[in-house]
Amino acid sequence: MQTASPKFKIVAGVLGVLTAAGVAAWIYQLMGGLGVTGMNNGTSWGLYITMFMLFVGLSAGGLIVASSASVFHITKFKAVALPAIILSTVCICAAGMFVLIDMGGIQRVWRIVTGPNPTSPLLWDMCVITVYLVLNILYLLFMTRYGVDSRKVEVVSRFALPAAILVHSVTAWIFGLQLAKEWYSAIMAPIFVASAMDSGLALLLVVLVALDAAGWFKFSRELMKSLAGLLATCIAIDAFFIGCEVLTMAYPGARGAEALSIMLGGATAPFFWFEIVGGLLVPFCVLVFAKNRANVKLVVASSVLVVLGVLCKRVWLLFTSFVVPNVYGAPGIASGSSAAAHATGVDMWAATSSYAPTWVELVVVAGVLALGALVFMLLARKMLVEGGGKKKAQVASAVRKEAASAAGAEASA
Amino acid sequence: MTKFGMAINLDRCMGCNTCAMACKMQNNVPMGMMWNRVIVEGCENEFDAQGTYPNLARTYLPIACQHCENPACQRVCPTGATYKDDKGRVQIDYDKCIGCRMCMAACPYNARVFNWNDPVRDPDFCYGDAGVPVRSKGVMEKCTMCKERTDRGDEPMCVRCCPAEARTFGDLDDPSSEVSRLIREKSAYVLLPEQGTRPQVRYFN
Amino acid sequence: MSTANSSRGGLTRRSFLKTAGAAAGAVGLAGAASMTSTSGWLAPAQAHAEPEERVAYTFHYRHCQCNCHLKCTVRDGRMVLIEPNDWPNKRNETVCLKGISEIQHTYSADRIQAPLKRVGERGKGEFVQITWDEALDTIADKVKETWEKDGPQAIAFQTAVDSLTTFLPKLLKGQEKPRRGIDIGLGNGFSPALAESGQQGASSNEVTDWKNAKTILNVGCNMLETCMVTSKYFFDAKDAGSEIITIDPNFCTTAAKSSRWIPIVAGTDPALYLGMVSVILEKGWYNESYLKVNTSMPFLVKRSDGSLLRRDIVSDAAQTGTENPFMVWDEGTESVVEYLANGVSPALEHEAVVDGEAYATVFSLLKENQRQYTVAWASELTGIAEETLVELADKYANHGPSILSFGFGGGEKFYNADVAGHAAVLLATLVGSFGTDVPGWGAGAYVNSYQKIFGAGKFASWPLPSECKTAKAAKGSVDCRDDKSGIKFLWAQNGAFQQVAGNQNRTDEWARSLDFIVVQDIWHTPTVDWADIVLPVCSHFECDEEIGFVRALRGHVLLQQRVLDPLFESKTDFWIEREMAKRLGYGDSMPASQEELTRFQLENSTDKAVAGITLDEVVASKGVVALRNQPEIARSYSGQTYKTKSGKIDVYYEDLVSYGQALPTWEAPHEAYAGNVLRERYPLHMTQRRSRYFVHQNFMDATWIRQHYDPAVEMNPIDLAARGLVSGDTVEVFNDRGSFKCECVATEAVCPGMAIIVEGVWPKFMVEGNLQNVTNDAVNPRGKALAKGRVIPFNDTLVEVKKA
Repeated sequence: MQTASPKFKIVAGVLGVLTAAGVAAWIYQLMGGLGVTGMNNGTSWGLYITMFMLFVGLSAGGLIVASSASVFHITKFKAVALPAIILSTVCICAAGMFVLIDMGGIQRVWRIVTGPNPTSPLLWDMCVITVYLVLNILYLLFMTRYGVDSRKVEVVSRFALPAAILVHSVTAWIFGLQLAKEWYSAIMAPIFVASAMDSGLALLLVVLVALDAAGWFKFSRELMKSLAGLLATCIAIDAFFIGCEVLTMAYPGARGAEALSIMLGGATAPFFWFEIVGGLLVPFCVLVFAKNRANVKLVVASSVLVVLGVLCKRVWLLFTSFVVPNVYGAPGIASGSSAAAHATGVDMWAATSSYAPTWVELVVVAGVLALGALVFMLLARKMLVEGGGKKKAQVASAVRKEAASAAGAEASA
Repeated sequence: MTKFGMAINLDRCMGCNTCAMACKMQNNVPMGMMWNRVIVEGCENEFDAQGTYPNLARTYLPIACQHCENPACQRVCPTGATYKDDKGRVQIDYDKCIGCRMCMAACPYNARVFNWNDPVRDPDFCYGDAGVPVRSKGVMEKCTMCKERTDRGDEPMCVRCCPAEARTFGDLDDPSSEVSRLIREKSAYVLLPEQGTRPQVRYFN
Repeated sequence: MSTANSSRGGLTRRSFLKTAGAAAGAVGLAGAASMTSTSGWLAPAQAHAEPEERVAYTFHYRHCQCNCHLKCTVRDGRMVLIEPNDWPNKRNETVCLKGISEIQHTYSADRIQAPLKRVGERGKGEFVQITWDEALDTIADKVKETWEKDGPQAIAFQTAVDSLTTFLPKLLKGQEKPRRGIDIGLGNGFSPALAESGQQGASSNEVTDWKNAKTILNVGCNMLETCMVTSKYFFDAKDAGSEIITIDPNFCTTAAKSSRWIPIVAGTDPALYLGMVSVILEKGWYNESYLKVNTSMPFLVKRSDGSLLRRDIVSDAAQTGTENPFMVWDEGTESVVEYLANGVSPALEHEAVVDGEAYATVFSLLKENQRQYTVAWASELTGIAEETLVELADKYANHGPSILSFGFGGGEKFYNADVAGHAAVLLATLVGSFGTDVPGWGAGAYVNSYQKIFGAGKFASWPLPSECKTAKAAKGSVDCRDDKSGIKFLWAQNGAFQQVAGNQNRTDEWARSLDFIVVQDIWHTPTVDWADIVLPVCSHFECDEEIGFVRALRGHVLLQQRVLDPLFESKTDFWIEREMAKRLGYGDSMPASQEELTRFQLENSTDKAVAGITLDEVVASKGVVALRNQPEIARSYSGQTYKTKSGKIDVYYEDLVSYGQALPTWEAPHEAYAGNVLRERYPLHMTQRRSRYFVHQNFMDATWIRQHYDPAVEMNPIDLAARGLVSGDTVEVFNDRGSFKCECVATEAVCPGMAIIVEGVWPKFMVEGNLQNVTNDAVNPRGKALAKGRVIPFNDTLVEVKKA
């Protein structure tokens, strides 16, 4: 058993403190109600749901890479399957936490089990996230306990890949099936899958580089190049879908165009343009060149940009629809926020809706991120570093064996 | 079957907000929230009008839950807290509401209001009908078509109090009811028909 | 234990002083919280395990003219529901947002909770709490001192429409509402022609008659906001096919809901009417036979001095036409004859020379006078196109029955209001609007007569000793604030201070100069700050006995019953006057209880409409009993009966000859007229408007309502842009008289060049100052010759607006 390095302890300590702060802020929120957030009756979802969308997506990259390794026999990906699945598990847990934190009546959440409404996409999402989480855990178990059981891994991965696609689609349908909002679009699910792929892959790249730098895990430059190439492809797909959506919104010059004008020059414009330029254009232009894909700094920078870009996309996607109510007029919507409850004048109303997160939301989000990072560090340390000694060989031999058999299969084919 | 509905004569609506206040009182709606509101369509402030002086028009539009036949809110509710009751009204079972606000995003009419906080009341006691449940923080609420009153055979409070007699309440399933007659004869329309929600609250001029 | 006593438990001296202090708005909530806390006045109610509900009935404040009668549900001692009461006729079952907001407003943080004595400078609003005995004794001593030193006429009583005071002005023997100058502007000109009893221009028929009219000209009356329960009759008329044409400078709610809106330059109402009169005269669209038979139009006027020709020399100005007949030119005998002579066929247009003096009929003089008021002239002044004016006149004269409606805002509050009223009655007379009993014809202020003129019953008045009577206003005084008024002691009610005068700085100065000021109010209105002693009054929902006050308005006897016990230490208006009577030596002359008074008023009434209605019947009928023998739709002057001197519609005002207004003659507004050089500095015309949210200053503190309205000066976007302003900016509205600050808001509904604000806003809800700081209080010298004195030209005000 290795003892933790002082650096590890400091980082873990800081993350622990942040987590504690997040928990405290959440308790504060439970006591005061969601009114302590910046949400209101006009913009009824905020940072939590943004982060939920982001983290469902981030969790994808790992699982898709890992399971494609098995499903499509992309042998080289198998090397990173373990950290990828750890990352995926942590991210989906964080996503789940955000949904629960966002609930106003968490003490009644068991009602979903006792009286589920089968038509609710949120119910589907909860089911599919649970399945997804279970698959992740199984995956982890099969990869770590009693050595790598590649047959079971293969079975799980055959379920994991469609589950990953589904989890993003269902999350997309929470929004995409709402006729009342601009989200209503058949392409919402593909967009979610695409941005899950690119953001998830980007995060995985960053994490693998970091693990490599920390000396916890060997991440070959060759593999990085290859994953970065895949990332570039995903960015292109994502950009294509967004282009389709934006064109469809703009073309009739109707209601969609109004929403688009908010994205292009209104409240959500900074996020939209950051995503287009910073999240799609720049990383793609960098990663499209093979030379750049070999450059760690450029790959990391592009990956960070992609993750931030997708975060921005969640923001504009979510909030643009809330700005102008379908039935517009003065005084607007009773905003219902804490401030509105105590407003002495017409401030209780909002003709158009706006939102800014409060410190409570920021601290809670920081807490969840810290907890996620902490858990990832602990799991990674346990599985990659501690378990590494005895398992590395097994993994390596399993990979070799599989590679050999795959080669054999290809040869026989 | 009974299918309660309402027809609102927009020609007679003068934007006085009596319906909004009556609703607030009857249903113990706290400060900063409204189940029922009147908007001046397309205007930024309620004094304004559409057009340029002196070529002006102004439409007052009272909006509350439209009690849709195809309620988007009910569809998306994960726990079935929002449901269509036996008299055709859309209701919320507050005990089942987990505060996920799916319904709020789904409602095209912004008819729903959420208890972001513990309710703030002024005066600081529960007013309104004794039968109206008290809602705590974290649950969704909205117009119930004055369930407590209409169950007793009374008309909703907004209908009772409208000074201009712009509102008519009744059973849409009864073709001989006044509300059915008005909808039929005045070609009453629904708000946002493209949403496909088929509201049981109709408007006419 | 009485509730008043128990209320003391919830009110500490400290919390109260805070409430009364300058920061009342913020810390006042503490007071409201204390009153509803379990340890407070509600303590007894907590004993009940099950919520106890009961229903009680009362009427609401009536200054909006509506007289709603309300069914109130009380649970655990707290008022929880307010709905329309059941009336014999469902159409009367009304309430509006203001009535409903009483759920909160009754418990407002701005309620005055206990009697107060001023400690700081007058007007600063610094008080300490005192006992009722101390308050009443202090006042009584001061009353007696004033009686002795300056005489009873030195006491002025500003009665409020919404107080339930009955005896106090008489007990104090002072002047009541001296030189009021409000709501009388149009009536001053309109009413004399018909000898309309209220002299406020009350309409000749009920608003319920609108559905029988084809053409309705609604001039400057925003009735859908001011008197909302009349709205159903407005819309019924529209549904019945009446064309309602609202003529208003601004696109008010009523304009928006009318069949048609015609913008007019504010303050030019007389020109509109005079222009229409000219069209009607020129085209011959007047009702000739009607004018001959029912009006003073054929009367002969001496050209040299404008006097009407009478049979005998006029010895007494009050002589009636039967005593000393008016003379007309008989077309049959071609001679001057008495107007009521048998078989007379009076000439409408005639010139005659009698005893060497030239005479002409009123109608001839009218035609002459109208020559200057061409359609082009009227069009130029009013901003209404010539063809529109002709179209209006055509519709009004030829597509009747027609209604001419005005109100108590708009043109009413201008320097030239009486001219507008006079021209209006002339216009309505020309087309034969009055006394024909044909449904749908009429003219006047419909919101007023809705409740007050028609369907009003007369109660027996409780006899007071003969010396108890109010004093007349001082002769030379035209404004209660002038040095001739002789007022030393002022007793004001319900926010009167801010409401009854323009140019607030002058009012404040006057208030500082007075010996003593008592304010009797329910809420801490701006007036309260000027008091030496403040008396807290119950709301209409509170009473210390089961039976409260009674009214006979809107066609019904309406009873106030106890809904709640008095909140805090407040007392009923009746209790206060009884206590004052005791201290002034008239304790034995007063009824012992409100019930005794109410029973007396009802059961001794000689009015046939009230006859036989007993208190027990009223109580059994939930406080509402229909007056006897009320017509479905009431109309005045039935069978062409007028209480004028001649018994005819007298459009010729002989007493105004010296002012050049025997016939309506154009006079520009005092300040707000085109071409006024003052416009170089103050280019905006500021008028105040009524709002659906308030009854004058009442309800300003109602939090349910305040969530719908923030005080703002409403201006056209053009004018805001010209000043570099956008909606939401804080602006200063100013002129030489003073200034105030509030937000501005852009609206196309406001005529360019105008600045509009809702009247009655309490200064504490403004950013700074009182909106009356800028309003015009100029006195029209003609005012003293008018029935109700000079009008306060609140709306005749020029201002400039700049970023604050």
